Amino acid sequence: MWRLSPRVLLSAFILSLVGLSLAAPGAIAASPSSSPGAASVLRVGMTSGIDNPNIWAVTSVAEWEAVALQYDMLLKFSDKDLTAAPSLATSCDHSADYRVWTCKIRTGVKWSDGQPLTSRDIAFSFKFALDKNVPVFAGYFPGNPKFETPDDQTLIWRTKDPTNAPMVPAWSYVVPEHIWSKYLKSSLAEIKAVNVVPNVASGPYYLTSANPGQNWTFTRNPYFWGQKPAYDSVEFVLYTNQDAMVQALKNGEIAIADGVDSALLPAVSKLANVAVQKVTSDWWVNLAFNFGGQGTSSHPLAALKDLTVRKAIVMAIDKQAIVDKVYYGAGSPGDTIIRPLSAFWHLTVPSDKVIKYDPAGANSLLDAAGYRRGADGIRIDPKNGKPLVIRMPVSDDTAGSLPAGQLIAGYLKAIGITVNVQQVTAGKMSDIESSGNFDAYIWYWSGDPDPNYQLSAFTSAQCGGLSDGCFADPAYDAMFVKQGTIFDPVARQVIVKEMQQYLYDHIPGVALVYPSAIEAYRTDQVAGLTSVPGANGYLVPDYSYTSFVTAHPATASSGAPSSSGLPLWIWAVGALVVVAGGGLVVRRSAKRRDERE
Amino acid sequence: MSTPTSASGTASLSRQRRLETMERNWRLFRKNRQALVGLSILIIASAVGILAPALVSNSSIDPAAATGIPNSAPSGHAWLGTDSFGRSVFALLLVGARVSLLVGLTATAGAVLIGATIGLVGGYYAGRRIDKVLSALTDMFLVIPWLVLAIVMAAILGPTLLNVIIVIAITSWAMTARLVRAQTLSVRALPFVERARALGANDWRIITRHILPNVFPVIFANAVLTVAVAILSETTLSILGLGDATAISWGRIIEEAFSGGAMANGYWWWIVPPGLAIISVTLAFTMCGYALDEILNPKLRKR
Repeated sequence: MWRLSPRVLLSAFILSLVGLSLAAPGAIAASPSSSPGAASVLRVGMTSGIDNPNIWAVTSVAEWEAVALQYDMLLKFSDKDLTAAPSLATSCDHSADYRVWTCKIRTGVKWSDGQPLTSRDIAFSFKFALDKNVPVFAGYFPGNPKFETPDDQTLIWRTKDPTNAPMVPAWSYVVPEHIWSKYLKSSLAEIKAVNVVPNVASGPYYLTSANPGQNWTFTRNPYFWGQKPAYDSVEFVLYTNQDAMVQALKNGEIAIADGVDSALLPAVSKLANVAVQKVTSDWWVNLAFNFGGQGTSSHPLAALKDLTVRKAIVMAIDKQAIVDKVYYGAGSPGDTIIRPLSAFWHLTVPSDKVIKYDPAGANSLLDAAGYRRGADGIRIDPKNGKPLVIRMPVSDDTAGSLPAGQLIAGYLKAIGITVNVQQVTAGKMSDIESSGNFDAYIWYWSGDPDPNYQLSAFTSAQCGGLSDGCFADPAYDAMFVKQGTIFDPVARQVIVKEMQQYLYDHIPGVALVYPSAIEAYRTDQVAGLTSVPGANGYLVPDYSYTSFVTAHPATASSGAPSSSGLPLWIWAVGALVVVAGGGLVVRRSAKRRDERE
Repeated sequence: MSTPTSASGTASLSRQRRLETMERNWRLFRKNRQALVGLSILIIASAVGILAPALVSNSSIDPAAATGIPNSAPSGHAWLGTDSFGRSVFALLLVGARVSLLVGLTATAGAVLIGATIGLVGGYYAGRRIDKVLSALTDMFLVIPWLVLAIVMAAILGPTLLNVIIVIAITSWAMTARLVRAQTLSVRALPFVERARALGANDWRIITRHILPNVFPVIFANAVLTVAVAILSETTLSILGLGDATAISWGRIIEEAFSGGAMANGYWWWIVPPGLAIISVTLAFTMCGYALDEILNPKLRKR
């Protein structure tokens, strides 16, 4: 009757799987890569969801990469530093008052179905994104601009107020009018549900087959206006976990592994014929403080309003140790809110202004400010007698947020501040952020290469909106308004850097880490990949498809199958014990049952 | 009516009889080699769990205070190597015993309390409406796949240690209820129950004084087996990332090892020891449970 139920069997099974997969790395032999002469395919492994290939429904990283591979922008992100560069438009010029932009459109561009691509397609695409209020694209057209097409090779972008929007560049892709004009009256939900296989696009490859949740195949666009890509097709292959993807890379089943977890860096670095690219990533890990004012029920720890306390917290945190221990060295300690990927805008904090890791200094700072330690070693706020206890949720969509939070809890314990770390889902984190029901949190920031969006998140206008903890500071707000009126990039750069320094000094939060995105590729399969932007950029289409245009199959050089480098007998013994243990439970259970029947 | 003296006499007599039974059971238990192996493993594990705070200083499991080289293989410094923070896996293992056993035992206590109550009430009032309702409830919990239910509950309640205990207790009581109900049914039919009722005892007295003592051995043996299940459940929830991320249990160590890339990177010392610890303690509880089952349940005793 009380036989150990399916549950024990299941658990034993899970544990056995653990044991078996330990043994697996040595057990699977390397399989040969694709035979020469056949159609060349560039296979890219990924773990982010590939569900809907429809451009209007884009959400996951892989879906964005699919869009970047297939479509063109009016002006593209430059391969060097992500500033605006010629693409469908060969040039865009503004009137003296920045209210009228005139773009010259490239001649002879065709869609993948052979139809010509003209300025009318571009105007249609932008209006469509605006009219349907597509969240990810509509924001790039501030001031509700009017688009005019005097001829096929000219686009005029007209706004009431001066704007620099086309040069950001506007991150909205150009779609064929002859396909999408059918859906002018449809709702966004209906548009997102439109089947786009095979797709019509203007980039080097276009989607020709999609198995949701398994793989997407892109075929070379015969009408592509740029350099002819070497591969006949590109395939995105989805893996359900990181270990499986790395195993596939090792066996040569994929040429590129996209978005490798930093925890697997030691394993990937050891693989033969595999090169690792540590990308200066487009997101950063943020420790935000709450100042109240996010919601009506927001009652954060009052001591965090004291700049001295916040400064002591920064001094107590060893950012380099977080990079080393949590991200396995793949990343760099954070300093300002504009990530280094936007190299033109990012401020490297001058060494005389850097707040250095100095726990002893943090302690004396708090001592001097009157935060005495209580009997339990926790400091007391002299103003209201409350102990310094920080509720710190960490979001599970931010890689490394939990171990980073655990480290920070340890660092702050050393200066007499208690941190209660709790991991929450991203959805729950949104609730916490909008209600302001927290003292500090760890989440990530990501956004445009242009700094405007990121800078806006710290203005008082965004309290209850984008803002983390409602850091309301009139001086900063004034600087933000000012930078929005300067269109000369060099002049704007000065004030953008001043704003970063201001936030670094006043600590609305802490830029903890700029983690690297890790991409690995087989040097015996693929060559000629282009890093965008600069040397430490993305090899897969993230901002630009250049890399997959220049990529070509590597000249065959048969590498010896790599050894796993693990003491195999240890896996074997471990697996054996685990399986035997599980088996014993199962057998005992079966025996009992027999006796009872 | 009995006089006070004879009452105390009956009490001492029954105590004596109980002592004799315990002695006999212990003799039977000692003869069972598997039971003894299981018991010794449990004694060691419990000792580790109880003494963990004395054996392991708080600073050696604080990620920020760890001094070891991250991800280093076993050596004289760290007998079982270190994790990605540079903490000794051996220290984690000792501390983990505490949480794993604590969750296993408390969740079992909860599950057995729910299960035994429902089983006793259902069995005693067999055939009546309350029994039908409780039986339907029990069947429902038996039929729902526990893992799915546990995942949903854990996701809704949030990942704290108390919630994990609640989730395991709620998903584990049904088997106990079934069993206790069956045993209650057979005890209820015995003549002494009818005699007690004839003497005017009410339902509460009959259930607590006459039926419960006779059902108790079954509950106890079942509870020991349930602990094994509860520990495995905690492990499963932790590995799936639904456990308390700040409480170090054996399952949590395995989860951290997974997300720390222990599998791909070959950091076996981070993942095998907690796995073996879970297997051996689960096995120990199972061994003891089956032995007790055999001894306390007369129907299973070998002749």
